[in-house]
Amino acid sequence: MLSYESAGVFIESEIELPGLRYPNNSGIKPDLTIRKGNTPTPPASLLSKDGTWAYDGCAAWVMVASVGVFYIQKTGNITVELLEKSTDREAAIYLIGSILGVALHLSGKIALHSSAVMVNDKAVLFCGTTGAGKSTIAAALEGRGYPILSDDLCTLDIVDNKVFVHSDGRLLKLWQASLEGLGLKDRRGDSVCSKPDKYFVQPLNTSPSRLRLSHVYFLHDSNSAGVIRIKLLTLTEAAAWFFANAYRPGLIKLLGQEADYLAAAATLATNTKVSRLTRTKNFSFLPVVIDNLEAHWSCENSSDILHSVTHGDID
Amino acid sequence: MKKFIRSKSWISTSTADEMLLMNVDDGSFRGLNESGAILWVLLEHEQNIPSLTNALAETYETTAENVEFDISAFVHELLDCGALIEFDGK
Repeated sequence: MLSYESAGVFIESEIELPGLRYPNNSGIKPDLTIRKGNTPTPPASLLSKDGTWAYDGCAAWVMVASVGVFYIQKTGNITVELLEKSTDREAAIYLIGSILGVALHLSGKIALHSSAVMVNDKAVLFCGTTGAGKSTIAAALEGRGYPILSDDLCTLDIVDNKVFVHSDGRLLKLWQASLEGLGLKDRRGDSVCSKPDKYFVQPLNTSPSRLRLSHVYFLHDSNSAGVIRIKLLTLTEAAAWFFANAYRPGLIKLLGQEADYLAAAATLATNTKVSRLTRTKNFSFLPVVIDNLEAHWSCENSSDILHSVTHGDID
Repeated sequence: MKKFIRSKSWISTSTADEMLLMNVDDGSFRGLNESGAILWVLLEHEQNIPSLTNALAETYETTAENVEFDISAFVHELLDCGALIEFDGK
């Protein structure tokens, strides 16, 4: 069995999980155990309309047409039944993505679709769905000296109204265009199996697996040129963005986690700075976005300061 | 007299000075200020306008007349969004 650490959980797996980090400590009881084997047949009455998943209150089935069946139990046991022609590497893509997300939701974790970097010994999150630019912003910030904590997923835990972030422990994944736009072609690693034009990128520095959270940015695109705007969100706005950027929003309702996510959203909004970052997605404009973020972190009353350096306003 | 109670479709959590409400059916959110939060807590059980008025007036050590209008507006706003249910009480 191979050992990994991601999003605050320890994983033992029969299947190699490329891109995940190895834990610092060995001999820790795993939270998740991944084995290959036969999976039970889901009751037909529990199948989703499209037939791709089922949930019976104790476990979830995820059916991937080209790969096989993933059976995820609340106990942390994950069974993978591969199709005859599919490979471990193909299964691994889903295991470190959607399946890990399902397992985290099943175990009651608060999981956000987010990259993260370390700024002044605290975590700063950039939340958004696939293609929002999470990894690109994290890579650009790494170029300014801010170590990367997470590429795509962060889990939160809340202790005495303080919010802590667990790194996903994954290698950064960037599209070829991002590698070229950021000048990182020399750090290009293996291709991501399911996406031939996307590559793993080796980090410049190691970073802690858990840090206190200071800022959250929800990424929002502007179609206009030269726009950078950072707007501090109200409590209700922050909650709406928080739910929309859960790692798998549909699972919150399915698993009845609304109250847990609502409490987390309220704690986040009242104990950290939660903003919407609207910007033009353009590599040549990225340095201006990073300049504005650094200004945001350097001043106490940051939302006011940001207005003075705003290049545009799409609201 | 009309009575009111929270809808089971809405859940809530409190912060230091606000109450955050969520409709679990449609995913919409509302925020309540401090006095709204006090009323929301009371509305876990059946209330009418006089009972809410008296409770808030007592909390803020003021007269019922000073808070009655605000409470009526609060109740109607939450009825409109479905966070409260109205029924005929005795």
